[in-house]
Amino acid sequence: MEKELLDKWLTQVAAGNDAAFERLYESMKRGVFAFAYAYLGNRADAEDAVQDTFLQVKRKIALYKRGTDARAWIFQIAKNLALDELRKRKTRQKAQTEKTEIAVEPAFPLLDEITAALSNEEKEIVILHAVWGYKHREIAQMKGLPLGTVTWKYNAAIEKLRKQRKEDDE
Amino acid sequence: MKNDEFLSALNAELNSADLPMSEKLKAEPILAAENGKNEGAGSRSPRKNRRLWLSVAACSAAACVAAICIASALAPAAPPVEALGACMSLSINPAVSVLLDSENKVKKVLSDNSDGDTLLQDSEFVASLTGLSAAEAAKKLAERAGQSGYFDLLADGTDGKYNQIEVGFEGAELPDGSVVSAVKNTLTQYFKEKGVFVYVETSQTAREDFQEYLASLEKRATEWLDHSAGEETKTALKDSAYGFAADALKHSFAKYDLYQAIYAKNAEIVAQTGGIFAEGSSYWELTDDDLLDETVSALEAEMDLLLDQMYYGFGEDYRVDRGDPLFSLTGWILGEKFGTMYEGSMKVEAAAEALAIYRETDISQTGVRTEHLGAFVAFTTMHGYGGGVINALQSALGAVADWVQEQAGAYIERMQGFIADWSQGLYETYAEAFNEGREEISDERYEEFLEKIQKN
Repeated sequence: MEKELLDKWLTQVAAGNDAAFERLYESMKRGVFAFAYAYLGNRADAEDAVQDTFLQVKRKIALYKRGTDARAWIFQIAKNLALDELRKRKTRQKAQTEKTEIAVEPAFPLLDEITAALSNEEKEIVILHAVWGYKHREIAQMKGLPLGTVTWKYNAAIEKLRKQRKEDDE
Repeated sequence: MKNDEFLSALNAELNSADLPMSEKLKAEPILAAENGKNEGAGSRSPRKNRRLWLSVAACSAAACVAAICIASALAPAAPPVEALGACMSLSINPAVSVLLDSENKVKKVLSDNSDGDTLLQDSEFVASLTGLSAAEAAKKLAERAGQSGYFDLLADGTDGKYNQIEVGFEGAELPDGSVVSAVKNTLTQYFKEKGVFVYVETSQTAREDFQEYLASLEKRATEWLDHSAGEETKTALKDSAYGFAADALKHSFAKYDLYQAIYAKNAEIVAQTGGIFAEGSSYWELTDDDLLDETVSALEAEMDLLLDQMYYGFGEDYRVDRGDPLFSLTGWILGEKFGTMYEGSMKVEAAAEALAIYRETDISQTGVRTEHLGAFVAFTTMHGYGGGVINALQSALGAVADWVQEQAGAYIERMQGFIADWSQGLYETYAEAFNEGREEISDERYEEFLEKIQKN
């Protein structure tokens, strides 16, 4: 996801351009889905989160500052929504249990592994790098961490997933 | 699963997700900027904000000027700044500095060289040092260094080889002797309990310029590479990169020698246990009957020592039968890599010569070509230096040669990435062996050690 292109599309969306919004949606939906899935743990909630994120993009587009990091702006919207949903879940635990009972064969095994095996910070770093295309240094700046720490955590997360996979195979 | 496999798999999985735009989303109107309908409570127009800010600022400025005039007329002179804290340096290699407050508790930890950076990669570990006493922090840092392979677990002062930690204290005045001795005693006792011979040397210095020195340290970045800049960075990175490479080469060559020694010792055992009509038993096949022979028993004990060196020195455990460990050894030594020790020596010398040439050459003028580094990178690969470490070497050192041509900022970033991988690789290779229980060193044995190294 190239920063400059996304910035251009968001600027066009801010001017009311629906076609630009569609291009933006198609370009970023996977990244938002991956992030939401890692936090929320199931496809249905993640799909809802994608729609809600882009609803917010349409409603809050006037707040986007041209020339800034478009990915980071959309990521923050997605993250806030995911955290809100997690807070609401605490009061809806019974409904969540029902959702689990009717879950079908996982369609996203790697995302499920990421959700189960990694801490929230590790999930963010992995998704931001692997799906959103952020370099480690950009992630370090975004999260206020040393570059070495981000690289360490990323490699540690991959290693965790590798071991999880090995245990599952055994 | 390698990194690129993971990336491909994850993206393939996401590509399979059908995420059409819902009708609700399609129907939602864009609240464009010119509509001006969705400005929340906190979003004034910038121009209005500025006027408001300026008028408030003007009043505040006037009030401040008045306040300062009054304050300076009435207030007594400010008391002199109290000299606070000290700086404790730990040099193993790695080298770190620990800033201490007036109660000798840790305020901040800084790396003083690139090996120090390997210790401080884990931000949770660094954060855990804050607030500890000087002695506790020193112990945790030394433990981390041990888990990263920076101590020779078998060195006991014989042949002049021993582990040493230099602990230095700097302050406006000489520090409290009890703090210094607490650090020394804590470190000494810790390593005695771990069964590792370590000598702790301490020093103390009072600096007249300590306040300025402390202020400069407090502003420094935690990582050593972060606070180097410009031309210093090029030289520092070149030295660091080649330093790491030279260490890896030296270490790999020592490992190769050890493989040879293990193979040769096993050949002796096989020869000793063979009869006219039967082949002998390898070390891993020895029976109690075999060990009734004094010569075989002695050879077995010598092999035990060699295998201990391989485990504690290089993290490879051949001490028990792991399938067919001998196959692994012969594969390395007799395989397609090096036919003889002589051939190995020649190739290593060529690589070392290339390293020496490039240490003396002005890289920015002549350029560095990756094929010159290939020789020793290949050598370290052949001897399985360590999964995480060798991957870091292969992927990073060749690129470091090219990085020298780029800007300093880019060098730092790539080198930091390399050090992060290197640090993780070291920990994976050495932590288990370091953490393993060993016989505690008694006071008597420690005194003998001090005599051997002439420090008593």
